[in-house]
Amino acid sequence: MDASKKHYFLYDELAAIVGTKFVTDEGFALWSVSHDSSPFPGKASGIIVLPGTVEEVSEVLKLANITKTPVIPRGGGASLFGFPTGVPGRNILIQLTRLNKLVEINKENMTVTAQAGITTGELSTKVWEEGFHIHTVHTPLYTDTIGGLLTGAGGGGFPMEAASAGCIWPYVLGFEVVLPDGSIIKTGAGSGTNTFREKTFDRVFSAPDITGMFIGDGGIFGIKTEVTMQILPRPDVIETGGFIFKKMEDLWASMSSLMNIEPLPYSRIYGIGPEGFNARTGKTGNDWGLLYGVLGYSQEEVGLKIEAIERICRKLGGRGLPDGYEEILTDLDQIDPKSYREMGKRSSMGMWAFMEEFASKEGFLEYYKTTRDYTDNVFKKERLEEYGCKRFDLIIPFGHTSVYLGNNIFYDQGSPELREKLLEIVKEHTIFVTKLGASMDVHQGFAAEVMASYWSPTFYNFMHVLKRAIDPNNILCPGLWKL
Amino acid sequence: MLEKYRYNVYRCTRCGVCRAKYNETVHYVCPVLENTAGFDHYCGRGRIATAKGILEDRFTYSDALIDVVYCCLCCENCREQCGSVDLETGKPLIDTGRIVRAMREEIVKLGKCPKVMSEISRVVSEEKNTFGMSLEKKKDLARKYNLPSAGESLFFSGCYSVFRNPKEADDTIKILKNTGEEIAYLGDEEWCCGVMQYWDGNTGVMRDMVFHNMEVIEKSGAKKIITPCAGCYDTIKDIYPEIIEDDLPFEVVHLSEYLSDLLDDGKLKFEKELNKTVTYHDPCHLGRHAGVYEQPRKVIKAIPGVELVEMERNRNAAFCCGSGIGSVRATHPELALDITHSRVDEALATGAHVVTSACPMCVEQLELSGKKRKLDLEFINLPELVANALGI
Repeated sequence: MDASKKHYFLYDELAAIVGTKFVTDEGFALWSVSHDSSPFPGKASGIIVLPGTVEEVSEVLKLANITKTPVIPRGGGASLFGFPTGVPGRNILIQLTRLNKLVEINKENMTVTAQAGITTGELSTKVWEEGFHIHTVHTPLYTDTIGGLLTGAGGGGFPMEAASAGCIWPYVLGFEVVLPDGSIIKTGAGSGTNTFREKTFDRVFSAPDITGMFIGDGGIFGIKTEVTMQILPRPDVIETGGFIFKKMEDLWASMSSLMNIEPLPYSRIYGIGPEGFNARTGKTGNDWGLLYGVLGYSQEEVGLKIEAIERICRKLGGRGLPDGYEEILTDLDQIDPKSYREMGKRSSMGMWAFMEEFASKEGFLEYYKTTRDYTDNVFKKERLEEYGCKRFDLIIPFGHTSVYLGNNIFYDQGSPELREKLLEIVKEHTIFVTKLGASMDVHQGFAAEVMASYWSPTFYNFMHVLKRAIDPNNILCPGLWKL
Repeated sequence: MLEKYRYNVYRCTRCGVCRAKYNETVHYVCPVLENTAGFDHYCGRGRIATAKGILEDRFTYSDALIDVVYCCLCCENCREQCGSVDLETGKPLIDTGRIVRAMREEIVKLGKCPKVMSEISRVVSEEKNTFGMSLEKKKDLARKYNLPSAGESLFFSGCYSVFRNPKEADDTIKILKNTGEEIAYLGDEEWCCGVMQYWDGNTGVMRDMVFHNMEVIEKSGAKKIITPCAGCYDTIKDIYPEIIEDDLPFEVVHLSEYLSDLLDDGKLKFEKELNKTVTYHDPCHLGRHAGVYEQPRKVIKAIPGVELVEMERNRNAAFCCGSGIGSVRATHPELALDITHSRVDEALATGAHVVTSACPMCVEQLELSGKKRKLDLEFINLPELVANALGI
């Protein structure tokens, strides 16, 4: 190591907190964590610290607060709209991957408590091994940390069963959070909230639902160091199936009818456009696909649910998947979270430009046609086919009221020209769909910036006051949400 | 050089599978990441990012970066768990080991190769073996067993089994003779295969080894090479063709493959019962690099009285022994040993009495941990285990 090297201005102080081994300001080290999994340009911090305890996180924030130094938290590093900007070159990047322990699985209360830096893959596998299931992402983002997911994604992210279970937020029972001044709080009536309640977790009875404030906050209100979540009995049975539709209108009629049933008969379901359907099946044609997976605790329960799905889909023009299409169901037929781990191996070169958003169920068909036409025009105007780009439209019902829509483009990120092109396309798409009334699910980078642009002045003012009350020196992710 | 991998470097999606894949057998992917502070630049994704930074002239090879580049084991667990494939060539798309090697080549070209690796490279260049000893020892081995220098079946001893653990060469020759294989041996004409120089970026020295060995092997009339060393096996089989830009005119066989074939043909029968619980460590260069997983297991299982128990991380998910084909052990001995300890801990957890492998370097590295911690474990390489079972 070069002793004459000029270090980041808080290098010695941060090294004193976490140990020299766990701090670096080497240029290559900063560069290697400057990008996420999107085409958005990198943002290098001034220093990276890897705290090993909540107390160390607290000390880092105290120091940052006193010196008014921006702090950006980082989990698995695979967000999709660029990292929070902060002040490039000055930010303290606080990476939470050392806080990766599973603290407790409470089988009686059916809860799990884990440190925020545990990967969702590890968390879901360990819970599964104990006979339980947890609603957190399994694929492809099982490399994300649970803290990162609950921070950087709308509603805390989407489990595999998002169609029926919704976002992850209802399953979050409480957090341990380090506030910008370094104080440590527990939300959700954990032991830090109420001396007499060591084991009871609920979000609303001892205090207002402050847990919710930290879900999908992008990291602006505090740094999560521990999370307690609800776990569920492990399902035993999974059945999958699919239908082909000649027209999008028929597919949507089936989907919206299925969404009206309570309880929802499916666990996982999605519709795919002809381009994606052909790519996945190796066939040609203009068919639309509806694919589903039903999880349950008995064959009888699953059978009844499938009967309901089949009855509606057939009535509304659906035909069962012909022989030879089984491969297309492989994403849906996994019951055990560990089997998802192999799914990445089906990926090939290239990258997805994620153009995904939430839209209302009411008027969805019209909304979808508008965005599909928009993407068609983008494809033509930018000659994306010549670059080998591929479309993949994805329609996921979300509970009873909304739909998650992806007008994704698969592209070869090796071409700098194409990367730049896709970056602009993603930006323009984000603005376009937001103006149509849709919401972005990524609470980081550019997506958060666009969403905040359309907040009402009153709401923006409320958020501004809230942020300044909690973080008067605005050290946590300054600039995110335009705050 | 790194430019050769530009296409691949730009296709890493930074998803982090190389960092944090998790299931029953894989757990965390990178032994270096797990045994250092945990910064991204120690794992595949971060290494690819630093390669990209170099390609874009964002920084140069500083001492700190060189240190990071040389602590990669090139074990290819990240490549294996990533699994993305170049659809045009069918080869791995994100081959971190090879990208790191290309960075090392550039470092060597800049004259910044870590001293210990330059020294090893000089020794190999001058003495034609890794240990700086006289090749007379190889000549002596040929004399001891009266092995001709030419023949269709050629024993390739490698450096380790002659200079470091002569019993391995003895055992291998005895096994081959006992099973009726008429072998030749090049003696002092057999130079180091060059594996360490290939992976540490001293490709010039490696090329000298390759072209010499190719010449003498061809002269010997060999149609088949048999070696007990995983490093020699993978290097000759997979890397020599890359260097000579041609197919090999002979077959390369690892001892475990040779024995496995004999078992299949019913030509190998073990006489002696060993009564041991054995766990097998997959050498990176036999496993992930060359795809040989089952043959050593078949041989071990065929030994009477032996119960083979698997470590939690096995086959393509096996953790490296820590040696990093000798490079990491030389440049970062403490890190290497930490990794070794974690691998030996896995072996201990199986309840096995014996840890075996099909690579002399792995066995030596694993044994180092056992000795340091005074563990009640035997470390026996495959040739010795087989020789014992054959009673020879």
